[in-house]
Amino acid sequence: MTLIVRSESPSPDRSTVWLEGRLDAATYAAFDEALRDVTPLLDNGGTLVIDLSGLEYISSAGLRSLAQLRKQLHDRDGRTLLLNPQPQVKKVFDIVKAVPVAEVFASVGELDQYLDHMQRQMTAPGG
Amino acid sequence: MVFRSVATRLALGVLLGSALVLVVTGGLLLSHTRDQILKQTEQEASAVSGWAATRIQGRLDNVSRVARVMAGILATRRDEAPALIRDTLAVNPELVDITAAFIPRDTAAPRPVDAPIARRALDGALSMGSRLEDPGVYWTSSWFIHGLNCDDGCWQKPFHSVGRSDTLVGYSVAIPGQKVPVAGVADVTISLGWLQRLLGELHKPEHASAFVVDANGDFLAHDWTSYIGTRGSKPFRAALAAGENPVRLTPEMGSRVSEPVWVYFVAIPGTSWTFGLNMPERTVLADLRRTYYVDILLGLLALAGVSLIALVITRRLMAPLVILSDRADDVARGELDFPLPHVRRKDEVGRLTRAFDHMRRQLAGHIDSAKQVAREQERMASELEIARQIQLALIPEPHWLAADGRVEVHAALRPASAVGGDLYTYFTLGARHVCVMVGDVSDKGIPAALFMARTITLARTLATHARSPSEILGALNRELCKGNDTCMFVTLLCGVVETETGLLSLASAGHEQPVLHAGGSATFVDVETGPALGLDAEARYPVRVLTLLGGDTLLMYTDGVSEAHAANQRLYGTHAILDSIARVEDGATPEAYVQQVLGDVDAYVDGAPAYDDIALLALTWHDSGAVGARLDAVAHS
Repeated sequence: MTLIVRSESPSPDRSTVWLEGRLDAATYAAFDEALRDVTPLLDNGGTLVIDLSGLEYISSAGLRSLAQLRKQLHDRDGRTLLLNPQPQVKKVFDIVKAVPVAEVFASVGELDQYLDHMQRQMTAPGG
Repeated sequence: MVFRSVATRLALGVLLGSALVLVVTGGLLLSHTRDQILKQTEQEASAVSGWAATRIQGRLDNVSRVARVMAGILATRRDEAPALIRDTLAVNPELVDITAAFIPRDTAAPRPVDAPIARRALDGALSMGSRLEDPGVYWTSSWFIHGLNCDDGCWQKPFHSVGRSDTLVGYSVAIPGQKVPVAGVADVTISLGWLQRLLGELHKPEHASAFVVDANGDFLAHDWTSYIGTRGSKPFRAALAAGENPVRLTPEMGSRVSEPVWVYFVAIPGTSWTFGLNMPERTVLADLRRTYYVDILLGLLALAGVSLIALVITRRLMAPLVILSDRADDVARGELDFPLPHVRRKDEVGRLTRAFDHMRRQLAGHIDSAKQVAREQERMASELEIARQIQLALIPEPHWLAADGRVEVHAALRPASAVGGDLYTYFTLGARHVCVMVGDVSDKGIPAALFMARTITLARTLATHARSPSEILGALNRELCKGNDTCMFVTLLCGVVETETGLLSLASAGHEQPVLHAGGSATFVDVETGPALGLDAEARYPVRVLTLLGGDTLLMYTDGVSEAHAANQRLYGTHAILDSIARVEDGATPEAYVQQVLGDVDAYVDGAPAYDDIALLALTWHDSGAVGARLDAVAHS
């Protein structure tokens, strides 16, 4: 079983990456490699959305990759948000909490709502 | 054996290929040459025939001129006819007879002078006679009627005269009359014997036979004398009538020939006669056949020579290849140190030899480096084995019974490879508490093993000052977050048991729920998890407190158990763990729990190699006298 990574960068402040297959000890290196091409295109403070709807399995090695990615973007004031994980993957996130539960969204609507909220906070006077 | 050599096969191939080409071109050459020879023969024949026809024409012209002169004179001097024809015959030795036949003035009483004839006997003597002596009446005979219509003269049909052995032919010219258009016929006869002689004198090609034939296809003269006076065969006459030239006649067509012949015709001008040459095809093509055989023989000789040269050249060119193929056998046997022929050539063989030499050296280099890698791997393996021993030394004994006999622990650790990231540990906290931990480091292998070593060492150190699992996990997390750029993390389940009361506090950093076997049933203990250790320095870990009764057993495990599977098999699953534990009898030792679960997992994967490390720890609290209700409480640190 392999991992397929697709990405799309409609703007420098937001990129989306789709994952399909398994993210485990055998595939996380390929994932890291693929993301090395995506993250530099993102502005500081940008948002990377990782769509997990096609991801069937994630192991602790995969969680480590995601956590490391999150940390890298965090260091550039950016955010890594996870979108629409399948139930079994969602369960792993819930238990291990390798990324904050608040950064995992069940739908694009929820995600957009969250981003709107964050922007209002940024632009609010004194915020 | 000899046919395995490339040189021999090449030479043989050249020989066969050229032979094929020779046969094909030979066939084309034969056909072309045959056409050429037939054309040449035709030219030769037409030259001979033309010459013969001209000579015949000259002779006949002479005859017709005499006849026309006679007719002209006789028109006005009918009475002098006998004398005129006699004198004319006397001065024209080639003539056999001359007739001056007039239409009788009175057919009832014709006079000899109406049709005088001068004759030359075989011995040359001249005599006079009259056409009245002919067997039939001359003025109604066909030659006379025919002659009356020939104002400009025409040849009569050849005929055989009685008393002479040769064939005669007459040339008749109408004698113009003074009051009527025609008064009679002047006829001059010659013998065809001269024609026969002429044929014999011709310089004909070998085996050719000449003939003269009239418009009806009757032979006037022929080299084959038996044919004279006979009529030509049907195909012969058809060809003559159609004007075909040349024509090929065969016995199968019904011709009077014994073998295929070529016949060449030339018409004799001023007559309806045709001169012809008859040549057997066999003799025409005899030269051709001989030439062809000689050519083929020479060609074969040339081919043999070419093949020999190809053989020699190929052998010389291939000689280094023979050595190279021997050396390739050496390489196959693993021998790489051998001399190679020094080749200066820049052709394929030269390049091959150099490439072979290069390959041999490269191969030797690769073998050396492979050996080095193998040694390196051996060293790594032995280092890993040492690392494994060190890692195993970091974890306590599998079995432990607390000094007061109330807490009994049994654990197992099975790394999937030499070293792994799973861990278990237990130790006393002061005199009244026992701490147990089961953890799983993210990823596998050496990085995981090092992180595991760090975790287990830190845990012991940090726990000495803590009494709550929440504190222990919090302190451990803060310490592991330091300098953790690679975001390694460890999920850890930490339990602290108060040995006297059986009060158990549990906290989980992203770890699987433990299983409690109490009162004959197995259930998951729902512990709210905090983040795995090493990621978020601010993380907090809620505590779940429960009271163990005597004989209750808590089983902690890593995902190596719940996710055990063989290739393409479903994961073992947490519920299978519950079932497995439920089968353990009440009052069993913790060792029995560990053995039961490991045994069931092994049976499930059926000998397949483990995908992940396995850590398993069972804790049993013994208190025969203890009574009271199970106390559940959740406290947040």
